[in-house]
Amino acid sequence: MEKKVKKLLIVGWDAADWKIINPLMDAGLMPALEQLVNNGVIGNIATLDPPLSPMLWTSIATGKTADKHGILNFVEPHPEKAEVRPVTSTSRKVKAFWNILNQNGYKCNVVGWWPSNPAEPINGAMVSNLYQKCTTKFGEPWPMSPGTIHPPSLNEIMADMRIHAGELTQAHLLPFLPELQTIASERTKDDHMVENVMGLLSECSTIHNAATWLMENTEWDVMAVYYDAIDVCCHHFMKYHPPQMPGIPDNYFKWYNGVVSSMYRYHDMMLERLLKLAGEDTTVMLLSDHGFHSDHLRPKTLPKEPDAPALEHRSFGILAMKGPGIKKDDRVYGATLLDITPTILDLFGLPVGQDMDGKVLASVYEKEIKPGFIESWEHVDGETGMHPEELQEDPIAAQEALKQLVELGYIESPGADKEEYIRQAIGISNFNLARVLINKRKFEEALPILEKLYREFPKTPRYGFRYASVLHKLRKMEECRHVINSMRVNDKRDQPQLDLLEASLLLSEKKPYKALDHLLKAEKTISHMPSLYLQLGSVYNSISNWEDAIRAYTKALELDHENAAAFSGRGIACLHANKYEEAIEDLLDSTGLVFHNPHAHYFLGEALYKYGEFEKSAEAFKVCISMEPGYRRAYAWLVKIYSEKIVDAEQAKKYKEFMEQHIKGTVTIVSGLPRSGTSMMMQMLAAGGMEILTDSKREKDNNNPKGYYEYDPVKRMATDTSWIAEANGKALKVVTQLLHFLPPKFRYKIIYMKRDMGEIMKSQQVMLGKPTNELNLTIAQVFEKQAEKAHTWLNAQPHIEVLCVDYAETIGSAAETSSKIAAFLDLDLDQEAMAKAVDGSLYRNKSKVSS
Amino acid sequence: MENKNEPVKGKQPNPVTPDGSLGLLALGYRGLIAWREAKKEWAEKMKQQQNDGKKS
Repeated sequence: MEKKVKKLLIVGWDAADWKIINPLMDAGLMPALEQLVNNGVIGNIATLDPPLSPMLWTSIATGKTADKHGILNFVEPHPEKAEVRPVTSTSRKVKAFWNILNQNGYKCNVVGWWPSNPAEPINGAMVSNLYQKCTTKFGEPWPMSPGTIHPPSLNEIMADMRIHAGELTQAHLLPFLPELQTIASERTKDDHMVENVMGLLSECSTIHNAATWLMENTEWDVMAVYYDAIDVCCHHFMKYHPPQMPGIPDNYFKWYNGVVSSMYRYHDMMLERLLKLAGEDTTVMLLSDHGFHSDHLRPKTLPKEPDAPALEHRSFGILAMKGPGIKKDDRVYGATLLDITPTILDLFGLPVGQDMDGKVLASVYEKEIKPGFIESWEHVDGETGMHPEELQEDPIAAQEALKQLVELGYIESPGADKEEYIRQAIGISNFNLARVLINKRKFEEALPILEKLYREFPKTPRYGFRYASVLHKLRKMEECRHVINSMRVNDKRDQPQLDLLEASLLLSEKKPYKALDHLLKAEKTISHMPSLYLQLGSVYNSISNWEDAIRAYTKALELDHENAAAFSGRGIACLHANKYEEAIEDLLDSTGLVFHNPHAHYFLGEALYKYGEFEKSAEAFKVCISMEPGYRRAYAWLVKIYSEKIVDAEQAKKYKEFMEQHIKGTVTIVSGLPRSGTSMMMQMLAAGGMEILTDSKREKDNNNPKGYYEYDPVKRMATDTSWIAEANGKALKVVTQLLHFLPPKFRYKIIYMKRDMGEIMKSQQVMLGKPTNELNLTIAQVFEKQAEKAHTWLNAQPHIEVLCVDYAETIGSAAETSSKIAAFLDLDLDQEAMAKAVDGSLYRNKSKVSS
Repeated sequence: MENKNEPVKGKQPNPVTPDGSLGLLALGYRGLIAWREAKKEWAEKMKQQQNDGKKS
């Protein structure tokens, strides 16, 4: 593995968002970033859930999710006192990139990273996230707490670099607040917006001063600097950002509408300086941890609960990289916060820990690279610069930072009852842990945490919602419904959200029409929520109502035009509605937003195939299996494409062999409409020596004197196919209507029985004890439509082969049919016995034509 | 180590005034030093003018 970087500059802009940046860049107002963009790669970077900055920046720095790194909240209980304190670096359980680089002899400078107090004793310099926090009035002594700076020899120079808000002048504020004079004379007593700008400006400039000093005055391999001002600024001022939101008074809009844009422009000015100090040959990485809603998705109000401000965060932050060996003027797709540390390690020619949750962003390089791997960096000895365990944090500085978090609304005020406050803080940490586990699909691990929270905090609806949602994921339907019903009684405000939850439950119970009732009811009150329309689209897709599904997803996209799930849902609906061009466009939009979605790539492959773009289709299927190697249907499509469309025997063989190795086996299915001759075919197969999967629960009767050969679990295929492995190598009877529930992990050979619809209806009437001269034509039409639909579906399933067998022909020439079946199944069946099993005397409901 | 804690001469986007500017802040520590230096010089000048005024 080669080292690909001379030096690396990492710049963190909390909450920076392309949606704000792009118009500013287009207007030439962010020239430094424009230079970076033009000379490197850019893309969205997907955030993690929950989108809370200390958790996210620790995931960025470790390549690991919060269940591993241990930073779970803004605050943590003080280990010795009955109080909480801002989360500390000593709570991080794993190595950050600076520790790994430290033990490999590289020098890192880290400034302002959240959380990094107390500063770690690395072999470069560390300026902690409490450095810029001001605790005193201007003019009074401003002591710097021990542990703020490493090495302590830099304390004095770093203390001098700090700018107090009181030191700033009108010259600094006017670019943010051009109406400053009017504001000063007309504002109300509770309007502290000017002071907020002053605080933000002094703090980020203080961080910038420390960073620029370290860049010029120390030797370094990595310079990492984190600015939180964009995030804090957006929490204070985004409501005044154009366009004017309903409820924002005209004078406030006039006074404060430019603050957010000005803050971005100031960061661009600081970036210009950093880039200049770094030099041309330094690799640069600029990123944010999440975005920030700046349009119609800005919440009008925030619920009064901890972490509510995170509702203003958007799922995608920014990523820009440039440097030697990095592509120019290109885009990177599918990046997540977890990919940053693996990519940093790879830049330095170091292997990536297999216990890391991210990947190397290989697509940013001009040349193809092969990252190296190591089991874990946690077990590698060497001087890491991590803290000794016994180190404690200074509580004075910590309390000041806590105060800001309270002011920002991220956490509640301690109030009088400190014990309750600690209990609440622990509850939030546990809730955040459960959310991380849910996102990793570790539902079993999340369940006990949420159950405890639900019991301990019955008046906190968000705990109940998550608990019910996990019960649903674990298919504990009864318990889930019980929680929903209890919440309906206890919480009158959240009924629409409960309707959404109940709709999900009903949908997974295959009750789409009941789910629809709940969703349409919820639409009356929460029509502003994209998630409502996502669910509606999902319900319509499940009942093959493609046009309504398209309409629902379109509404979701009107509310949130960068919603990857809405694009993929609409793409799937368009595909089924034979609107291939639209399907391709939507699925490309979806994968452009969230690249890691094997499902979307699969359907993109299918849409491209149907559009006749076979090479692109193959590429999409390959991406799908690169993300989910067990996606068998994609392999089957690749075999089909390379066998029939782009004839490439070698490729076809490769994917076929893989399928042979990984597909779990072949199941023979006998299918058809009820009374189409499926039992007769089962008898033939049994007589031919084939093993039948049947429980013989349904006994033979006058309608089927030789038995039904049915298997009871087939009736529950809509909700449970876990038993399907039992059918491997055997024959199983499945009626037409249930075929599309066959799980793709097996190959299927389907013998589909065809019989005249009049005969089928007549035979069914006989079976039901009804007169045969009163046939229900409506039901017959429905059956015909269902059969047609099933055939359309079967033809599109590359892992399924179908042999259609005509009932009347089988009666007439059983030997010929037996021979066809043996050839189709490629089995050495006793064809004579099969033919003998056909009892022509049972052909009792002949139609006039066939008779 | 070379002492680089000197103001940036001739590199500021605008003249360094006692009021300072965003441009100076964006330069980082060098801008800060330049601004504080200008404030100090201005304060000394004011003090000097005051003293001169008292004398006359």
